[in-house]
Amino acid sequence: MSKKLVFVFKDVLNGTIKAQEFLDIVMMAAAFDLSVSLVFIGDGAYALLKNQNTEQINSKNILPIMQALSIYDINNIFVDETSLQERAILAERIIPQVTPITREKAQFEISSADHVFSF
Amino acid sequence: MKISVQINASPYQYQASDSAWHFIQAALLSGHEVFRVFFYHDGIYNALHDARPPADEQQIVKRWSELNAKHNVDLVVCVSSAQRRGLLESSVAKKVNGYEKALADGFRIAGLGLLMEAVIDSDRLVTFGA
Repeated sequence: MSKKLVFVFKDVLNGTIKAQEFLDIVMMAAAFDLSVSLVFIGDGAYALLKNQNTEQINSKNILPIMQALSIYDINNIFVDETSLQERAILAERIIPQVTPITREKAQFEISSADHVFSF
Repeated sequence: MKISVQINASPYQYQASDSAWHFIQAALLSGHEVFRVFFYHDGIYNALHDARPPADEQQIVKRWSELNAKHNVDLVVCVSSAQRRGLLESSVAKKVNGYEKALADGFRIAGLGLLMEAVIDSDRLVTFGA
């Protein structure tokens, strides 16, 4: 049986190479036909804002990759609603590929994984 | 139980690789199998051949090499993380006129596929360093 991997993004992603290196794991997992979910929680929610311009900090914009993950059959991209509310991020300001879920559902998603990668 | 370990942080600055090493010792002592340690992100600095800390300090790199020699634990350094940070495998270094002896004994450089293999084949993957 194929294992279920859940990737939890809990910190802001810009400013380091973290995002790029960890998305590499996400895509590799999908290439191995593993079941993959992404859960954005806490400050990780900022990574989903539309219209990010990372040129000014000379770093690569990961948003195009995030928006293309369905090509790799990764369609379970979730964000914790409470984290959005706490940061006053309206649902229309985040990319449409992401589904807001309750904290309970986020917890369930994480606890149902065979392996959790947390970034 | 078959266990693999992922290390994401550099040695000396963070406790992650120290904790990982102690965890592995405890796992081996308890009769578990430690299949692979995968060094990712700044964790690749655990594999620098020329790390020379003062003699009265922890010899973190050497300790990993010994773990490989003694218990045959597979020590894998992620190729893209390593190249980004200037750690090249000797054959690659030769081609680009780089430093050919950068990698410490007992380590090998390979791709993320080996992390996935560790995930699939191990009962647990334990990650150290955020």
